[in-house]
Amino acid sequence: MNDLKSLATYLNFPVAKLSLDQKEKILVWKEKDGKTLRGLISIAKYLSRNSSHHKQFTGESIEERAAIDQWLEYRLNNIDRAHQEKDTNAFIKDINTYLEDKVYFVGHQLSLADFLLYYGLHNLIRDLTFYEKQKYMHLSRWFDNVQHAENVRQTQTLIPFQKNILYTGSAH
Amino acid sequence: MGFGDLKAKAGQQALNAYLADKSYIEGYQASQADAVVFAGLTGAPSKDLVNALRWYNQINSYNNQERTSFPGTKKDINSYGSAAPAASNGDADEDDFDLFGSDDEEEVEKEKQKRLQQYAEKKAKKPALIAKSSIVLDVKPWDDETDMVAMEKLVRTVETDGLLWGKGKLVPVGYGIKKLQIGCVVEDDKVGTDFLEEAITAFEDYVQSVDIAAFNKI
Repeated sequence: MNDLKSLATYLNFPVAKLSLDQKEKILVWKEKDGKTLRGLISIAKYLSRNSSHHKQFTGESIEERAAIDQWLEYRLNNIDRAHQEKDTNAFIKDINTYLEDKVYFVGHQLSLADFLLYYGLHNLIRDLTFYEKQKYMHLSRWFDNVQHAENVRQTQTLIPFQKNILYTGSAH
Repeated sequence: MGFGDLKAKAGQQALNAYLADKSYIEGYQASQADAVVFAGLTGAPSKDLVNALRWYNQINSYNNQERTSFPGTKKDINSYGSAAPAASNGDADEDDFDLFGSDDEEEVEKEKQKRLQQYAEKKAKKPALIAKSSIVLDVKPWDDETDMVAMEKLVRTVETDGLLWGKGKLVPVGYGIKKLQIGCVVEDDKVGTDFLEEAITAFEDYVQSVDIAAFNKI
């Protein structure tokens, strides 16, 4: 719920239209004319495609838009469904490798993919040890960069990262 | 300060090391600092310098006009970066003489690079070993009225990455008091005995003290 609230604020939509369906435990977005949307990703896409910064945020080219969709799916399928440590370890490693040569997930600007992955990974990264944060340096670098955009982070806590290399011989 | 000569490999390596945990030269968005350092490069850094190349591609995605309108103020290129690598720093200001010297330096640098690479390869081939230890803890209750079952449950709620609880049993100490003897396996890098002791003694209502009964490397 937190991530969609922040997204709505970020894109200048009234947060009040968002609610939680208690029975089905699913997020619902209600427009004045009675139209409703259900579910994290559909609401997220609806909001970002309707917003004024549309172009950059949902991808400028067809390829970028496709890649962003892919990462949203990744969040649903891999991150939100990971319950065991070996699941999380696997995708943390993948994401870290993916981010090696990238500043943002898709293209050269902050996009919906960065936004929702930041929220999806927040708790997980909060619980990492400093040793792990250094081990997954590309992930940490990306996260640290995104969380310093105040309008993205909003009420989320700022996670500390080490400023220097703390552990040597981390290659074992 | 500065990265040294950004046209030479050494300077680019310094830049690469500096950018390992940073997305931009300064702060968390593109600024004049990036524009200045970008202008100091003649082209994309080579592929093995992943961090420098990533940054280069990011800054290169803006056009010249966008780069000049980055926020912040321009400073001298040598005021950016970390203090460490500045061997060839002064060279940029001197003239022709360097042409002879720098060749040599490049040779040495190349050699060094090669050795580093060989070393890294050798190291990579070694199987990844995770050092683990098996620890047996003695947890002593406050008094004979302490609920030992509840205490064991509490102890097992201590959860962290790299910690696995094993069997626990109650051992009589005398006068009807029992202590809890519980085993666990930890990854040395992630969990320390101090952490365990602290976490368990935090259940003040139940636990009087925690001792390490046995500690074995696996």
